[in-house]
Amino acid sequence: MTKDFLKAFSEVVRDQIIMKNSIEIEGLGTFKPVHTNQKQDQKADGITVMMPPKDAIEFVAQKEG
Amino acid sequence: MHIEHNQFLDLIAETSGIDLEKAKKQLEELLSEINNSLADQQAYEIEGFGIFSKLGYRIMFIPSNELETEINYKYAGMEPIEMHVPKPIVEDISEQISQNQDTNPSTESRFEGLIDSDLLAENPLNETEEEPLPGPDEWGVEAHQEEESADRLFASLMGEEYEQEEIEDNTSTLQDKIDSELNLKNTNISEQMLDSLEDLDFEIKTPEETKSSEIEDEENLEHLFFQENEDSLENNIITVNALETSSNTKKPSKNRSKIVRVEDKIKSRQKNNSLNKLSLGKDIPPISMWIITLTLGICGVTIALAFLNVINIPFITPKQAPIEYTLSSTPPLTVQNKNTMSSNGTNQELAKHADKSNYPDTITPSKEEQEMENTVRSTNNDLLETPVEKYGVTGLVSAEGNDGYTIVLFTLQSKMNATYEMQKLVEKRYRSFLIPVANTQFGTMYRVCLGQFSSISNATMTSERIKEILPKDYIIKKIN
Repeated sequence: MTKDFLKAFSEVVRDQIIMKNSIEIEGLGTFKPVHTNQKQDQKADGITVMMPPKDAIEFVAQKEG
Repeated sequence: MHIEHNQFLDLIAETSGIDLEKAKKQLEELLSEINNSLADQQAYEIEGFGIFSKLGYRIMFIPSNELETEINYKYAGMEPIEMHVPKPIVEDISEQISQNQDTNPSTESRFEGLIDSDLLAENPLNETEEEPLPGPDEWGVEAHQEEESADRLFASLMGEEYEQEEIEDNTSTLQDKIDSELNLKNTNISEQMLDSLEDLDFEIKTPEETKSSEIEDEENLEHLFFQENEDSLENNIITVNALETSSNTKKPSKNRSKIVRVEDKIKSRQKNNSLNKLSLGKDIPPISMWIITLTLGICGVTIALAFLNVINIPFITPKQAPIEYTLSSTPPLTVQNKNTMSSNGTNQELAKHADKSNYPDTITPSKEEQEMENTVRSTNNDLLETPVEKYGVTGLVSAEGNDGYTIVLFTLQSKMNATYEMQKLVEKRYRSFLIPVANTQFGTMYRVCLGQFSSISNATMTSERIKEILPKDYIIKKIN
């Protein structure tokens, strides 16, 4: 396992997530893109904050067995 | 879109440049390592990608910060914005009221009916205008930059311009405020004036009193308004308003219609003044002036034409001066105009008169005429020796006989031909001479005359005797 492979692994997953594609890796699980819209959130001190939109990676592990 | 395992391997092979089999082997190695670490309840970190961890039976993936920022690169610069939504104070007041109601039941009557808690809850007293919540437009890199700081930075770069802009803005806002206040004041004043005038209309007077007072008021107003200072309408209106106020105290019978009438008069007078100014400025002559100039021009042209003998107008067209024909020292053949001939003068005197005559149109004879004249002179020299009679057919022409009659043989246009005919008669020792006659159609005509007679009868008798030499259409005519 080389560094180039690891680098390529992370790049491919990142690019496909940016392109809103889900990636299934056998023996590990599935990476899915999740988009969160902007929303108002209230902090503990009572200040309301407008949160920006956000994209995240959701990982669903493969079921064993 | 869903990417399966094989596709994922192909993509890794493409990006890394490694063979597909090698990539497959290395992926298997990676997966085994991860699974082993997770089986040992340990987390496995791929640098720059994330951490795989296991909590109980659940496998988790925590992406690294680098991966998160790369995924959210399109939302870069968007940070959480604090929203200032103050709490309504009414709630506190209502709470206080409720507390007071609990603590002091005597104050219940004080607030009873004055404050409705439901209404206060709906319409809070100290409710400030809520700022609109920032939408997606405010997201972005530039949205989070402080405007004031940027302006001040720009001002520091540009020097005084930032301050000038501020000053200009302040002045403009102040001017707007002043204008609005002035407008409000003006409208209030005008409304007050109108109200006061309307109030004054209700006073009752006898008809005679009202008539006399109205006449006096109108006269006074006109006298005051139509003074020298009629320059601007505004001034007049101001004076009207001032008079309204002053007369309201003294003579309240004046009403608004009268004042309006006076204002109309002022306006009409000013309009007339302005129109007069305009007409004076343009200098447009009236139609009568045009007519007078045209008639004068036509008259001048006609007089000029008449003076140039193009048109015959009596007392204007000059009479064509009779052409003087002089034969220098030959008294018998000297034909004089009746004006030049004197009754007492001799032929020589006549010749002298002829020389001294003031007629400008003196005909200068040509060479042929001069030759003919010379021949006439030679013949006349013989006749000079004979004595001159007053009347007669033969002999020399006497100046005294010009008051009588003569036989006109020919009236010729050519002077040379006339002279030739006269010469023939003179050669035959007849008393012959020429009389030039001005004719409008043919110019100057020359009459070849024969004899000088005291009366028409003598002339006719003589004409009968010398019938052979006379033409058929001769005429007897008075010489002068």
